[in-house]
Amino acid sequence: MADSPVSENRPRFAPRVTQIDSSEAPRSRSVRAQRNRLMLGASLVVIGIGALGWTNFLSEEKTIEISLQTVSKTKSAAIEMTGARYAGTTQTGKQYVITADRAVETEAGSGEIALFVADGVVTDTANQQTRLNAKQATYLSNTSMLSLSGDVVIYQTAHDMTLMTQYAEADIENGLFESPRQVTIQSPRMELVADSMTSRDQGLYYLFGGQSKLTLKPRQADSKTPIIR
Amino acid sequence: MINLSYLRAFPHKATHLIMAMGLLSIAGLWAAQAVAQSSSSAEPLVVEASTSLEWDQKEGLYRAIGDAKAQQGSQIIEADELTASYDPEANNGDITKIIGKHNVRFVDGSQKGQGHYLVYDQISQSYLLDGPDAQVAGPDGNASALTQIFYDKPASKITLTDEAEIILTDGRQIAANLIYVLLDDEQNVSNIEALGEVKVQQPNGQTATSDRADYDKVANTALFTGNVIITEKDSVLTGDRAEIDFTSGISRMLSSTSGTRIKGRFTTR
Repeated sequence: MADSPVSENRPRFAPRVTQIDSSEAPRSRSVRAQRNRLMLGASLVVIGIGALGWTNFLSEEKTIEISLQTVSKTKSAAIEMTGARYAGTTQTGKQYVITADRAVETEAGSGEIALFVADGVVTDTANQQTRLNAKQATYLSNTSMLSLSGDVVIYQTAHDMTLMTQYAEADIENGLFESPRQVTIQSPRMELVADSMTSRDQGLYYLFGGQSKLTLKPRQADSKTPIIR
Repeated sequence: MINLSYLRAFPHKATHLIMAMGLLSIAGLWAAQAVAQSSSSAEPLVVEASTSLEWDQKEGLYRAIGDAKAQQGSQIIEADELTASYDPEANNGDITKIIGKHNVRFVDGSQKGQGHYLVYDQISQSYLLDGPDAQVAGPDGNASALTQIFYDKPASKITLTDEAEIILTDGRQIAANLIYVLLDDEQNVSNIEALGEVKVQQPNGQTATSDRADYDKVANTALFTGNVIITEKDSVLTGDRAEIDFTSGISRMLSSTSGTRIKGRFTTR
């Protein structure tokens, strides 16, 4: 949420707390536009992961709040923000908060947005949360590919379930999600470890590659009924 | 100021945003569905594979390929491919059936089995092994069948279908078209019922053929009925009913209720 009260006259998407780096502060319209793209792209990265519908997102401008610490333009023309924080509520009442230590559009107009030390939380109306952490999240808008790298963790409080991997990619247009690296899924009642993972059909179908091990743990309420008797 | 104007200017960006909804499901559903796979067992069920492990939540199944193995306690099923299924509509997610394809093997207590195809039904707790050359083995010996072996664990009953054969640990062999094996509480053979083209061969060379044979392990006797022929060396007894006491080695041909005469041909040296 915002760190300061919102003025009624303030544009809806104005940064609530914005401290522009005086040495490289973008003053021109073009730089501001780049900054806008960056924030939206960065949001897309995490919201894409964190399970929010974009149709909802687009229609809920009133609830979106953005704050950041600095905005700067690097020598390589990349736009960089620090302390980015993005919060909102979907039409269905889900709240989301996205933060990143740094957000960078590697080249103006390139469509590649990178979030560093990304953290996203989505809270649904039942107060259940989906939390995402990754050292880096990158979205390529021209290919609709999203990549997550470095200690990627997706956690759902509703099922007390965690997916962990070091790298994952999502083909947003085709609804695919895959990791060529070892994947671990854990909950109090299941554990799955595999060398790789591919998901399709909106997460209804998974293919774990290589050496795979699934452990279905006993249901405590009825411990006398085995799976295989 | 930050706004959405660039999205309006570039509709394809909005498309990307909408497509990102796919990730919603990917990131969200895996957990929602996964929790349904928990079991009600006292021990965990472990499914392993060396090539791949498939999880189809619409169909409600896991498919393990390559050195596939499902283990729960001392109960093990192995095959080139294993499919463990559950009711996707049920909330408990308990595994209801395991199907093994190619080079199937199972171990359940003191019973072992192998075949080409296996269906383990968790509800009825039964194993259906398909041939060719399906085999099971227990403390008292080995059994095989050309077509099928059905092991009903709660009933402690094994059914061998088509060219069925049992080789007991004492060397006795029983062959028939259809054989039922009843097990005791310790999974040892208690009774054997053989039907159709029955042939029993003793280690001493004595053979008995009939339409039917009922073996009682506790009494260590067998009753043969229908077209009975007992052969030992060159001696032959024929009749409609015969009883063999394997402990004493005495064979008795009995008169049948239909009045069929007993015939014997004895050769002396």
